[in-house]
Amino acid sequence: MEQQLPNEPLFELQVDHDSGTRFKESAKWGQFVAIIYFIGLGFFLLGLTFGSAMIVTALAEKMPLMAASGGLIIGALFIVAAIYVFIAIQLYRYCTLMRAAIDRQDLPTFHEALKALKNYFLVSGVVALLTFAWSLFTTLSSLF
Amino acid sequence: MVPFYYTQLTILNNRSKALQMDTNTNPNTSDNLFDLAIDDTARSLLKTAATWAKIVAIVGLAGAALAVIEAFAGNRAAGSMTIASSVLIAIVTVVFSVILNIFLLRFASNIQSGLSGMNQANFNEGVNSLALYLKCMGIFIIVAISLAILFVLIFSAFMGMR
Repeated sequence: MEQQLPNEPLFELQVDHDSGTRFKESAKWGQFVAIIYFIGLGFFLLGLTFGSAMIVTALAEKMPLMAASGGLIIGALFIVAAIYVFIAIQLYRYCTLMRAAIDRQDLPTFHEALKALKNYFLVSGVVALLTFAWSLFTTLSSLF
Repeated sequence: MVPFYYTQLTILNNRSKALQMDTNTNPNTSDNLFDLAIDDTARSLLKTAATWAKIVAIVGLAGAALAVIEAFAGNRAAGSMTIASSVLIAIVTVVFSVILNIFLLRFASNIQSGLSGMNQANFNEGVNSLALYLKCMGIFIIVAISLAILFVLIFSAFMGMR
């Protein structure tokens, strides 16, 4: 009688020499990107902290109807900055943990790195969806 | 006189000892590279990451198309110089965005197919695309910072001449 072969493959996927090198390369560049994120966000938060009064005054002069919501806009900008800080932290965590995981061949650290990568893409995805919805709304409203 | 086979045996023994020492002191030898297996936890985390990366890439490509529409169709009341500069900026941004999002889309689809088909080649290609995505992002940041510094220098020189 012919025996049916199981669907499961014989070997599981592994981080071999090729993928290990690529993971490390991604961590190297990702760390650079994350550091630039931190520097940019630092400047943005500094500007927002010291320039918030100026922004509210300018808003009251240019758009008197929006004068009352000046504080709300500043608050929203702080929330946006906090979200981007979270994204930068997750990217930095992925990079440092992935480097350590590949160097030490440590599976729990590898899991932590992948978790940080998942969080990075998850929050980036939500932000991208919200930004796209907003830009679609503004484009359509400017066209029609 | 030492026999020839004894010399050969000593050399082999020394080589074996050196290899053993290297394996003990250096944990990054190629033998250890296969310790990291893609188990169920890693598989689940990678699948979720790839799904969200695909969403980011598709939304990014759609956003690039929207930016082109806005650059060409919007801002009709502005002067020709303003329209030309906004179209140029939009094209440069769109080119960067398309390149990045294609790498991200390749990462997502290769990782998904690698995980579902247990295909090591696809998995490796996916990881390579992730590395290329982050590398391109880093290079674009360097280019953007350099251009910003150049514009500031040109602008300050121009203001100094007036």
